[in-house]
Amino acid sequence: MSQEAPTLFVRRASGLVRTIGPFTAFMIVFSHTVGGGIHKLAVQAAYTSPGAYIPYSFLVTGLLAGLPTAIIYTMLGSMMPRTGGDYIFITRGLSPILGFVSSWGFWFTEVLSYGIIAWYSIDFFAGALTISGVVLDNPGLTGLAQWLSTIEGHWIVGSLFVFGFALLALFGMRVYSWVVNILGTLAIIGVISNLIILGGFGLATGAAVTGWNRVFGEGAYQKIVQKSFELSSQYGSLFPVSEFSWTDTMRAGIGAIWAYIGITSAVYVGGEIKSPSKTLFISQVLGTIVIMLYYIGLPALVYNAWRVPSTVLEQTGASKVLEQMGIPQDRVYFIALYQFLMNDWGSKNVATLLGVPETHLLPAGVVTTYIVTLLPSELAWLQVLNGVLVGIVLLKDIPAFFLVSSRMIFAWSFDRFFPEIFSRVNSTFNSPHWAIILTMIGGLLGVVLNILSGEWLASVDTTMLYQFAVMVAGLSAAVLPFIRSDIYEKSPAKYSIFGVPLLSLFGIIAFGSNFYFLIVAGTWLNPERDLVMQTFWMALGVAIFTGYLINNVKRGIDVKTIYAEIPPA
Amino acid sequence: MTKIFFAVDVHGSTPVWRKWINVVNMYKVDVLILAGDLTGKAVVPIFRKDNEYEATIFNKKYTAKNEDELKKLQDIIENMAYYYAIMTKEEANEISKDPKKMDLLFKNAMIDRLRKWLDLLLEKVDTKNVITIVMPGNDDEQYIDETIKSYEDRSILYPLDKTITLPHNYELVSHEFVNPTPWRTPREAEEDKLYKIVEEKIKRSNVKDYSKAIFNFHCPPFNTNLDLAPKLDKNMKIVYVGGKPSMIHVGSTSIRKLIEKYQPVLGLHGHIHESYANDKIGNSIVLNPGSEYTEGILRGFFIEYDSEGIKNYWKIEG
Repeated sequence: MSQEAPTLFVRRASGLVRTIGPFTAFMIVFSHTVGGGIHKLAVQAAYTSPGAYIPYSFLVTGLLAGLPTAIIYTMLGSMMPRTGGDYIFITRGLSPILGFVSSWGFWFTEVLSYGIIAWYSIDFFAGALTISGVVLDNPGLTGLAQWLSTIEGHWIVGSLFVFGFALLALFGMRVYSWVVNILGTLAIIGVISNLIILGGFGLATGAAVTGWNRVFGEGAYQKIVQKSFELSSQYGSLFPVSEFSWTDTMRAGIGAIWAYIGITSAVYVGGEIKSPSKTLFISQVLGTIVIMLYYIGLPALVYNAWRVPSTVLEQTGASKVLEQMGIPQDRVYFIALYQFLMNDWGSKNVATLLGVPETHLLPAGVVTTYIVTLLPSELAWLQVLNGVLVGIVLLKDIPAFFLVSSRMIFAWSFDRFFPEIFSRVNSTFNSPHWAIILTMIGGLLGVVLNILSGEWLASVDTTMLYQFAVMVAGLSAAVLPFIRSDIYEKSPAKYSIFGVPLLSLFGIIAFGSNFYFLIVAGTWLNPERDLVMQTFWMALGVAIFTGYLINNVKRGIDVKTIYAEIPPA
Repeated sequence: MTKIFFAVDVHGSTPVWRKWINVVNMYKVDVLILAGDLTGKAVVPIFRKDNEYEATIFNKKYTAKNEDELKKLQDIIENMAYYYAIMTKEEANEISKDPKKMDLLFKNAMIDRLRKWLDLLLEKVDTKNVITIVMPGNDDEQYIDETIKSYEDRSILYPLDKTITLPHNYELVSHEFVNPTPWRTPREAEEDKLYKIVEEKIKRSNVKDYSKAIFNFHCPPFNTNLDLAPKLDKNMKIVYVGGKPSMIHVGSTSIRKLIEKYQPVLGLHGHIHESYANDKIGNSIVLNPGSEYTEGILRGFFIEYDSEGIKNYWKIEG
């Protein structure tokens, strides 16, 4: 410890304190990243992108976009360890307006998303309670699950989550670090239990068939397969069985990119991180590698466990249909078929088919369903525990999203490009209290959006605006060694390959790959709703920046110097 | 004839403070003014381990094995306009984590140095006969004011709460605030607010004759030779046009308007270190001695005046 003692104290300006060490920084990255994305995509992709093999999507997007992005954010964060993340990098390294607008766009998705997460985390808990109610034969738990699943249950509990995490955030990072660390640790236990259950119980041939039939009655698995294939010609392209395709795998990569959002979240609290170079490397670069391994491993295990055995295909007559379609037998996944029936044929019909009450059906689109059913009935406690822990996996996103959102507001405000009140820091808890309150209001709006209409949710889809921000940050990294040599001098990793700085090389890769996925994300947008909404928001960002620019110049503030200098810590 | 010596922006540099004091002994001065930005920007921790001391300054490690060597090390740090504090590495880590401790470290360091300076001033200058004025600037925390005020009983004048009458019935009105800077310094106000508070102060000062008023405003007026700062490019490097640095005006429009409106005989300003200059706004002479405190160089202006007006003024540096 004593070797790292500071050799110079400079008069502080921001009021924030460096209290975040590598463990908490990693937990912020893990919490922000590993949540609904992977635990839904690991099973939903088989239904939505039947031609894709999603572990490959995670591998390719991780190597091409995730890791280079994590590396440049770590290098830039080491040079500019200030709160605000890519807003600081882009405004100082490339262009103030681009920096503000990209940060503004990402904030929009971030702040509303965590309200949406508060809403959706209730689904995970409702799922966990349903599982608990079924395996423990406890109608009280299923009743509570049903109440949680209502709009009323969602908005009451969702709002409480938002309020609760805001309240805790006001107590500053010393308290909030505990919240992040405890929830993160519980979630990691959940993640490990997923791998253990899938690896320990899912690898045996026919384990999923036995497990499913144990929960829903003998022959239930076969009924799902048989009915799906019976409906295949009727539903045409909706039938989720297809041969492997790299094109579909790459297109599914946009979902994988969405699941990777958060691998750079430690830089947004850069002004509160101790030993930034080391901490950012551990949390973001090593953190991304760990997350990549989980993202590849989890769906690979799920696909393996839930591939429909050839004996079942023969029994149900599905093999003949496959032969006619020219699709190999190893491309049929039960997870896809169950979702197909639940979503397209209807859950009522599925309940009738299986002969169980509709409330006893497990949710089709979450990984928990396909994990807990693998467990033997004598391990009911582990089924319940896994369900609850996976529920926490989504809930624990909220504090990380909260930190990123509130610190972005703080950074704009500190630069005097947002009302200055939001850069005020409480002297007792060293927390930007007004920025936290505004973030809370944004989160509540996210909850309200869910109540209003699901359609609105698509327009706050995080991927497009996130892609824009990281793409511009990639460009900033690529040019920074040449146009801001004074900042680049501070880099702890000034390596070059054939005379080209490593930062520029990774910047070009991050820019190119994120540009590609931005285009892919664009093709998923609804031009009449999403594009209009996002364009309006970005235009509002331009207007705010321009307004503050004019006002600051009028006030006699030297704006050029603000954006030429790294803000005081 | 009355002679004023006026300097600004020492920013914690003891060599500059000593030079300012010594001016009185080298030249016969009636009024000695140091008008703002007294405090420094950084503290160097000197680590104590057993009987040895160690500090790192600009990546160079210094060690002191006895009290004499420690004194030399402290002088090296002080001459760089930094503060020092003896502590263990564990204490340094604690301070870096706790803003309250950090604030206290700076507060103690600033007040200690200021007291040392003011004691030296009393020792070297006959403040009973030389009107000695010391005030804070925009970069100084509010708490240093009390330290200066505590020396008023020994004739070191704190000018921010009063109008000081100088020989020949000249009246000195002082204010330390500046228009907003990119660095969020402790005493800043937006132009309209700055105009309002400074004008209120002028009105409250009860100056009878503005042809004998001296405005001692730390902030320089806009669009003069006093407020020119070098234009910087994105790399924070000075922009050169035709081989010369390109300069931009960064002073206050409010201060300019007030000087235009009240036309004091003299304006004493600082804040912009690069603008070692004089100028005129209407009939008012305005001066900024600038600062090169990092090099330990004193810059100042001598002003000679009598009951008829300003007779002479000239720059010195050394």
